[in-house]
Amino acid sequence: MSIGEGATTGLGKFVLLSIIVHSTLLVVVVFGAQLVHPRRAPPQTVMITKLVRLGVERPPEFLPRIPVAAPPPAPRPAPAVAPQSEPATDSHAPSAKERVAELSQVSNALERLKKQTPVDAEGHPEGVADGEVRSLAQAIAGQKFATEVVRCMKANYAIEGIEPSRVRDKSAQVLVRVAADGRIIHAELQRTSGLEAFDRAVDRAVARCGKVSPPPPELATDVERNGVEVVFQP
Amino acid sequence: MNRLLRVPSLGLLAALVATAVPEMATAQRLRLVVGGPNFRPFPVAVPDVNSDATDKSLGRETAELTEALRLGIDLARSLEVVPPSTYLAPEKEPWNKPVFQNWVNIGASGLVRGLLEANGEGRKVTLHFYDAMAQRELVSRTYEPTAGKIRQAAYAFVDLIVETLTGETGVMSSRIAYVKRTRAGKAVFTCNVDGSDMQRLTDEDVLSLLPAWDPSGRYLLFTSYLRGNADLFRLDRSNNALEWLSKQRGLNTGAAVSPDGKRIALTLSMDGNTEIYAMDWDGGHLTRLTDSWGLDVSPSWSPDGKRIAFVSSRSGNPHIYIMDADGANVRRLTFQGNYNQEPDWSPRPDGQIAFTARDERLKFDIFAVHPETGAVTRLTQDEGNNESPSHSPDGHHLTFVSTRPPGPGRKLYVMDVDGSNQRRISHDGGEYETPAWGPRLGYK
Repeated sequence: MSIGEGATTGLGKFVLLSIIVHSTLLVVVVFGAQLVHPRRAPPQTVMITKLVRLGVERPPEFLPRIPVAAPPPAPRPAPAVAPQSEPATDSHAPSAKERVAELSQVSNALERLKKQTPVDAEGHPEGVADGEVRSLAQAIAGQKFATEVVRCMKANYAIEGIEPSRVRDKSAQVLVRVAADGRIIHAELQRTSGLEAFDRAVDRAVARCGKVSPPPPELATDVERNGVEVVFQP
Repeated sequence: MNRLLRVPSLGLLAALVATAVPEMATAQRLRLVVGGPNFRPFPVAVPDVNSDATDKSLGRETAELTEALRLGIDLARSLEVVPPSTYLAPEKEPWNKPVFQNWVNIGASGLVRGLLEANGEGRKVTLHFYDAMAQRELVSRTYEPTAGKIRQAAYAFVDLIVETLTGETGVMSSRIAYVKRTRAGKAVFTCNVDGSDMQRLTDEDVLSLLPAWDPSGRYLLFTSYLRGNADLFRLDRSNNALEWLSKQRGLNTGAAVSPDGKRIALTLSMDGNTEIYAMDWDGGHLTRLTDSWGLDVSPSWSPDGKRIAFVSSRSGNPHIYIMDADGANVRRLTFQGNYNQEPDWSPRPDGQIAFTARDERLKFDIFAVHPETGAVTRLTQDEGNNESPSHSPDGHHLTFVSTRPPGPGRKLYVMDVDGSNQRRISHDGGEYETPAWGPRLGYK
């Protein structure tokens, strides 16, 4: 055996040993990791997707086309088993989301009020007996009433027969007195818009509204005696 | 807790609870702001016009009067007819003492009631227009039309309603001029804006083209081969006198009278190429306005008379251009499409320029371009070929011709300027071309 052969044999054994050691280490690392952190199934989130065909962008030199409305989606089939019926609710009753939004508005208004009302504001430092917001619930009740009035007026607010551009800078104001039961018992145009069609729309909105939800007891006397000013604008 | 929420007065509570834009009123009242109205046409109920029951001859005219009232109201952009099928027994109420609640209940904001009576040889028409919601009469008129002119009373009253509601006079007294193919040529006709009362103005056996009104409505200009060449003629409608206005060599065509009635823009080809010229009302002071190698045709005046829109092929394809009334400051307005023609400038100060264009599907449709921004909007689509727009005198409507079905050929249509309410007004199957909506003519 020559020196060269002996060196080759020694190197071969070393390489073989190294391969065995590294392989063992690799097996330990891989399976050990599996034992310590067992593999979990990926989350099975259902994603509803809709395949659409992306159109080719219209060349800018082409004349425009009137967008054609997509056909309405087919009605969903009724479920095989009817869901448990829920107690009937007023369709106009505000949803939980709306209630949260209203609360948030009231909270913001309170914050603004705190900032805007100077410490030495005019009036009795303790307020007056019939002019207090004693609780958040009371404020919410007032807020609800105001929202109801605006919603009702807006639902009936339609200007007929004239172009939108003609009322751009117009507005009209109506004084409305509301009875304790919510009936509008008096309406008076305080400020005309100067446009017959606009004023007519205001009259109609108030007349068609007719009745709103009863004002909260704390406001009832005031809105019946002094009324509510409603400003109609475009 | 109480102290934190305590505020000095009820007025502040009012400010607190106001929804949309809460404000403190001076009288410390709750103040609410309502915005975002719906805009819609004024719904008007038009029950059958009543007539003297003892005079049977009035039956047909009563129906015609009712139909004309409904048509006129339906055509007015600011009004719409409440469908007659919804009316609650109008015959049970006195014609001049309406039960307003019945009309409000069917969604009518306005109500027209009328009575037709014989008046010797003529007729007497009494019409009332009520605000049904306010339960009051807004306007009433009595007309005494001659027999056969009963529609004029209806149109005059519709215009009065439009004026009462909007402050703008309606367009029912205007007429539409157009060219219609005849057996041996093409003649100029006019009709009411609902297509009724068609009258031929030029010879049936001569080729007459491109009618244009003067601002008074007394004169109609048109090109005719009456003397062998395409010359420009002017017809005085009051006495049918015909005047040979321009007889230059080549084409004398596409006349447009300026809004003040003093100048006439027209296309002449006397120098070999078609160019736009302007001349005085009497034909004098002929001035060349364009000078390009391309075709320059179809002038249309801006409402203030200071600019002219026209078609030029100087860029290779016909496009809409604008220039000053003296020919200066030429500006290309359209860059989309490759065959834009027949511009018609709205009479409204902020109005659009309607034009015909051929799209990439090789269909002709009506478009509008804003004269300042160059923004193009499409008004017709996917319904045959639609061409030759012309604005109504209030700028709210357009008349045009369309090949859409049913039936072959070009039919006469009107639509609102935004492309809505397209309706056919010619029903005889004729071949119509180049309508021109004339000015308000009033009622005699």
